[in-house]
Amino acid sequence: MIRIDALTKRYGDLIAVDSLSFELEPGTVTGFLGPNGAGKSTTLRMLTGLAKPTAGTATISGRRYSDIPKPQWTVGTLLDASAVHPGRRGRDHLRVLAATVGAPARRVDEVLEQVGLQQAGRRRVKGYSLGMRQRLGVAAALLTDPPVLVLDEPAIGLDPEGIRWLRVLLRGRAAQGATVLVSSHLLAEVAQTVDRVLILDRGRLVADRRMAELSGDGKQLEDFYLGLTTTEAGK
Amino acid sequence: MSTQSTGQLVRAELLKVRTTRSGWLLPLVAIVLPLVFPVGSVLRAEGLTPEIQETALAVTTLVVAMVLVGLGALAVTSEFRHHTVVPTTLAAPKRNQVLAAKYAAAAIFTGLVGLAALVVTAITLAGLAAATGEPVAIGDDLATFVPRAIAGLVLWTLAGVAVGSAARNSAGALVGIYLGWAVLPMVAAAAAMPSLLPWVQPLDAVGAVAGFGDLMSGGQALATLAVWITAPAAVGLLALRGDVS
Repeated sequence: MIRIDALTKRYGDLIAVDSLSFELEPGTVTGFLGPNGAGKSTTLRMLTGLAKPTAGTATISGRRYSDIPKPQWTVGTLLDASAVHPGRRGRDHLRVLAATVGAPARRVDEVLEQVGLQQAGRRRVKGYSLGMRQRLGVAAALLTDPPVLVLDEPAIGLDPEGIRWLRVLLRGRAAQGATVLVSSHLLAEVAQTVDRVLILDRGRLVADRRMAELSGDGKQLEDFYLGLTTTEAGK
Repeated sequence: MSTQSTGQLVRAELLKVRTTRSGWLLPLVAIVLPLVFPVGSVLRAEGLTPEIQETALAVTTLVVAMVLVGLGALAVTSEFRHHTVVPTTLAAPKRNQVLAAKYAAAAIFTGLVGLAALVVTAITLAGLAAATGEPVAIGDDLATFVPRAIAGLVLWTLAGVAVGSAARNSAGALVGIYLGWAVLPMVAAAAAMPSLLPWVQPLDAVGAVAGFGDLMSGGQALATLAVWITAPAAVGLLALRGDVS
């Protein structure tokens, strides 16, 4: 469903993503891990057409995002939870997106209920917590009930109940056959949610493991991750 | 499944304007503020002469122009300021189609607000005339004035959208429009280049399209507004090619 092939992004002399390749199958949740600056967000932005690759390809069902007719009916995305006009009501934010993609108006209230923002949807977004903005972003990703979900750090700002809600949601989508790619720094949570982990370091893929190959508890994933990656502070 | 229609995107753009406070308050200001002029004239016992009635319509046109050109610029720049360009581009990846929808929505919105402002001013003038016993002097010209005024307003708002698409920054776009409009004529005058003056007086061009005064010819006015639209629009189109952040 998602195919990344020798994907590369350079900003001048800096190589943000370096010849990255992987494939994701339907019915799975894949964790996309790596330190800050490893190239996760840049990869997701190239996958969704926001950034142009220097080399390589990123396709969904065989097509580049920008070549998919009505792409949000195929791919639901949450790349930046803060990307909402603060003076607009949460429900109106979704109404605008629904109008843009041609989703029926009833879906707005359905997804607001699904993410637990029925009441808050009537308030302006400037009064939202980060967790509420994340839920609103997830609601936007679900508007068209798409078969692919691409979420960048969706668990940041969520409370424990919210994290459990997100886990159940993502597992449920995968059980229905969706392809889910989710980046995160919350390793213990990733260990409970995903089927597979891809670990990036300095733009390169340094590990591609099924969770079944690891023990499944957060500690083992953490040790595995820290053994493979470097941080700015740790250099 | 086909791609998004431009009509669908235009409806979404109009919804964006309607769902923020500034999208309601600024047009309301543009409709109500010009009424200060004819009401003030009556309160100052200057009467409601035909000249004052004509000037009231001109004031309304210029106030609407000054407000909506800013709103047109903000329709683009606020997407970058609040990063809503990310979900917008994800939902509609063809960026030139989104920009076209913004131009179309700005034209429709300006037409509606301009019409509302001119009608409210005309009704207010009629009411004041009835109250003061003065004759209504604008009735015969309204049918030709209103369409021309709305045409001028729409063109000027499109210039605002174009400047917004080129600047991408709210402060930069607003300074470019308002300061440029105020300062460029002075620069042209100081540089002793009178032939340049009509090109740097877009509000005079709006007035000329509307048909009040003898500020410049209709052809010059349309050419001036065309330059104010096409030059920044070309820069805005080039800027669409980069990565979205």
